[in-house]
Amino acid sequence: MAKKDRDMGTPSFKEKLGESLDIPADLLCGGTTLEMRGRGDLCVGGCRKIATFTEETIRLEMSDFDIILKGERLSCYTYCEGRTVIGGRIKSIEIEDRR
Amino acid sequence: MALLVKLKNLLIGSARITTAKENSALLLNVCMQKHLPYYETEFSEEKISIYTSMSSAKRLTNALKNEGIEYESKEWGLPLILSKYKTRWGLIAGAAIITVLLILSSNHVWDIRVSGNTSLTAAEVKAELANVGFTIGSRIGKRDVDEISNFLLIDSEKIAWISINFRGTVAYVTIREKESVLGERGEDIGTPANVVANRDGIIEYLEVMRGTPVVGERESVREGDLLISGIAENKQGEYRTERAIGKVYAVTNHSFSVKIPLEYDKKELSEPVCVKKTLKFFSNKINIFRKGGNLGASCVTIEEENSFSLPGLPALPVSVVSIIALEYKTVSARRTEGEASDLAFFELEKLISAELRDASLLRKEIRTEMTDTCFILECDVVCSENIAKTVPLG
Repeated sequence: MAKKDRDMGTPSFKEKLGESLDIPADLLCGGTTLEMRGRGDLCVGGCRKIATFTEETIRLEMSDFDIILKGERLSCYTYCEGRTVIGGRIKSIEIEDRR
Repeated sequence: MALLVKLKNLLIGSARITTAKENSALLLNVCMQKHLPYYETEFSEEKISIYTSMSSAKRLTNALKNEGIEYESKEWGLPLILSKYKTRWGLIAGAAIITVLLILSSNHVWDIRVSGNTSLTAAEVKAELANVGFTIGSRIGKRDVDEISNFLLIDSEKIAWISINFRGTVAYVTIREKESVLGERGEDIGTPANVVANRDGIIEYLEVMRGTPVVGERESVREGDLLISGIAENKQGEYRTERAIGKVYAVTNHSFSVKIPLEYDKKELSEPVCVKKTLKFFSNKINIFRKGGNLGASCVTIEEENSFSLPGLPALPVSVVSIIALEYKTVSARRTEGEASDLAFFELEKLISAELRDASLLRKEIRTEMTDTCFILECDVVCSENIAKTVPLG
């Protein structure tokens, strides 16, 4: 049901719950946060694993989706306690559902 | 990376772990799972490197071994350097001792430099400072310096003012000496006095600062004759006394005689032997070496102190004091005529320098005579000198 709702573009149960009770979205999505400064400094929280890591592509496994970063000279400065800081020249950020 | 961070990494030790590029994600995941921080990643052609601390590198390499991942490791930093010298504990202990000593001794005086002294020598000023407890090795502190200055001025008969300033561990002492109010015989310089001749001579010229001259140029005077009077008469015929001051230059004769015996007792010294060595650190002394037994009755001892100093820097307060003993025996010897003559002329020069220090030599006549037992040297000197001598009235 949840997948159908997403496919249809309607808010999921989690989204509705968060809106009605005014709960921050990152708490309901496994603590996922993205904070970008400029073009080359991206801090990602809630990362469970790094699936791919090259200078052009970094794929991060989050709670139930993946974040795919593409760019040049990408580097992972720190990776600890689920938080990672990506540096380099980021050209695109994609989110891909895993389920 | 900031300089301080690089310095910190050097001090705690760093390592670089390199593996194939396809293992890059696995490498970072292992770091995250094992809570191993790293501070830089680097890509080369087919490899990825991460930089981490030496302690984290050990755990990371163990984890990679367990995962079956091939890697290369390189370490550097202070722990690696120190591990090479871990058996050389003497070097480490020596460095630690020197560091502690430098820190402790930075609060003590290493050197004292004296300025402003005219008649007093630097050694005499340092001796006066030592009497009030300020010497090399004393603690540095403003309150102590003020007390020391006050105590010294109270005790000293020759120092009127003193200032002690520090630049690091060197004490710069500036003094002003008291002006003497005593005359030649120790009397008060306000005492009325005449100027008389201290030897026979023919007056060349006078320099009168105070008093009434009673002799003129080209006059012949005898020892004790009045040259400048300290009694002055005014227009009313009244007399008053004053201290006559002046210089009276006269041509005088001096005779010297030197007799050098040909037969004499000569001391033959043995080889020097070090009987005692002491290490002096500030004012503390530590005996390093002492030779047992007593010194003979016919023995000369020489004490020498060797200080250590670095080029361009003040002398260190560390020195080695050595006492060297030389035994001697007395043997009879005979001088040659040449040796006796050289010695006689040497003694003559010493006599002339001592007696005619401020005189101008006009003429010198020397006569020598060689007998069976001695060499005789006689010298008549004509010179121009100040024959004024102050004598109190009454």
